[in-house]
Amino acid sequence: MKKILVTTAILLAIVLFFGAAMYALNLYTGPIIEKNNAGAAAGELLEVLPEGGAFEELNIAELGLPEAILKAHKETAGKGFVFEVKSAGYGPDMIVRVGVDAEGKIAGSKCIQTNDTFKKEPELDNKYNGQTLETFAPVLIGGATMTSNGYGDAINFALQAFVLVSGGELSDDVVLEGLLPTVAPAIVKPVALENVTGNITKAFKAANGAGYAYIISAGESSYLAVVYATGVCKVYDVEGNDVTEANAAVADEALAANETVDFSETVAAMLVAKFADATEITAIEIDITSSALYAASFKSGENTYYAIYSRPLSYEDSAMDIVTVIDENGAIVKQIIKQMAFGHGVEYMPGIKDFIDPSAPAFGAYLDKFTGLTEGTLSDDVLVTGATVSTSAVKTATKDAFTVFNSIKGGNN
Amino acid sequence: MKKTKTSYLLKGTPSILLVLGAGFVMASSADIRAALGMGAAVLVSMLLSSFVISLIHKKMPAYAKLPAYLLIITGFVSLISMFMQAHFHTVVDMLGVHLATLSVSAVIFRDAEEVADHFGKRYCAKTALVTGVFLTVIMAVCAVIREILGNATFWGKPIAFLEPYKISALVGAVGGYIVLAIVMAVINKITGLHHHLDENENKEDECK
Repeated sequence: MKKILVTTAILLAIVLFFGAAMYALNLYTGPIIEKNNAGAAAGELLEVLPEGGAFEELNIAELGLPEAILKAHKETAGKGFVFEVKSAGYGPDMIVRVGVDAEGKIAGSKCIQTNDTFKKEPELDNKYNGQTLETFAPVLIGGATMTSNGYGDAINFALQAFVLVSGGELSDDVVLEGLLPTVAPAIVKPVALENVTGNITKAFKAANGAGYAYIISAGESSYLAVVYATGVCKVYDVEGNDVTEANAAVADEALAANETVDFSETVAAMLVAKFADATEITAIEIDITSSALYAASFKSGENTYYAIYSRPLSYEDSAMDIVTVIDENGAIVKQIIKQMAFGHGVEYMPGIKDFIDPSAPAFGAYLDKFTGLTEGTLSDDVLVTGATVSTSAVKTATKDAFTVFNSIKGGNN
Repeated sequence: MKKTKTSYLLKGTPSILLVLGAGFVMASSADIRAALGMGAAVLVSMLLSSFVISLIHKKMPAYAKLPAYLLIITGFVSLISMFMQAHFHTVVDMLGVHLATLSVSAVIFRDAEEVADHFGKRYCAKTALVTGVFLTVIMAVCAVIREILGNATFWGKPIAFLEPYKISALVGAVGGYIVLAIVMAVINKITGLHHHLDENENKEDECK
């Protein structure tokens, strides 16, 4: 009994001794460790805001910043801000740390997380230095289109966040421009045009030839007018609401700004190449809400088919003309692709070269994969390793074709 | 095998003879600063824990020794870790979790459990000192080889002319074990420690 009591007392004494020792040591080391940790964190922030000194983290939930902003630090002497911004490059999880100085200029940027196969992000670090929200222009590097776009988006979000944390408000133009990917996904990678006239304050041309977008002022308000190459125009307010009917004058000005393109000839030529007996090719008016730009019905033999046309971009901004032919039952009869775009993928995957020639067996076999697929059976099986970007664009176009088909059929597949 | 003071003293050189602590030697020897930091941590924690254990070991029943010794070792390692985080945080960052796992290291526990328990505080202090110094030297030798040849740096400073010739595999775990094995082989060859120990143990067995 005595032995147990002595043992217990010794164990208790050990625990008490070390507990007290740790408490006492922590009184001394705690502040030093905290200072060291703050210094290490500040070091990372100073990489992108070299003029900074000390930083304090801001509560982003209270500031109403864009969702893409993961963290925000303010330089305590007012020399600027550092933002950690989430974006989507080749993969969905790119994170870029961006320093913005007190004047709203990019002071530095560094990609701190990515899953891009070719690790191209370091080539973009600090390439945006000196840009502001007003002068923002995307920086592109060859062979990494998606990564470049994702990096540019992150920079743009950081510049917008700077305006908000500085107590300012984003101008209607910036808000409307930010709406574009949401309300008009078919307008891929819009490029700003230099010459604008009338009430148009900003103009953009879709790199895939799908149409134009304009920021147009009307009275005290501004609107986003999207003019598809087919001649369809839609007008959106700053809330993203479709206000086309109430703003006919805005739509007219947008429609008059550039010529439209008739896709019917392109689609008809692609159809006739595969369906020699195609007749009664009739355009169908569709509500453009995805990558699908044009639709037509036609007859081949006794059957009626639906052709849905998309023009997505792939590597190095090369456009692909895709026509998905769907039968009355909602199954793909033929996938027609005028040309595939692989960019630098060709260099890395010699086997992909077969795809460049539409008459090559590999290309034909790839297209045959689509035959018989329905909306329910479309899967990642249509993706090709080494040509993920191009074949993902084809998959998206196919998915959008089914959506358009369903709308044509009144939602009844 | 009869346990003598001589065999404990000589065998108390881990990673040469018993290959005790090879894991953290590998983990801590990619950089000379980490090696010296880990060596110092091992030395101090061994000295302190051996001393305290030698004071209380007679009062502890056998069944309570393991938890008590672990408490003591963990306590000292935690205190050392806190101190190092305050003053050598770069080294702590390099060592990562390996500094904390020192608490359950066979090197320190062997010292505490066998030496301090058997031979008292004066001798255990001597053993801890020898063990700690030798371990530090071994780790430093491994670190110099690995950092210079594997990383083309010394004390974190780049050696530009070695950059094109560096063997990155040496910085990794496999490289660490390879370098440790080579260093062990060289030291054993030079000192003949293994041979000497084996002879002593054979003689002791014969006397028995």
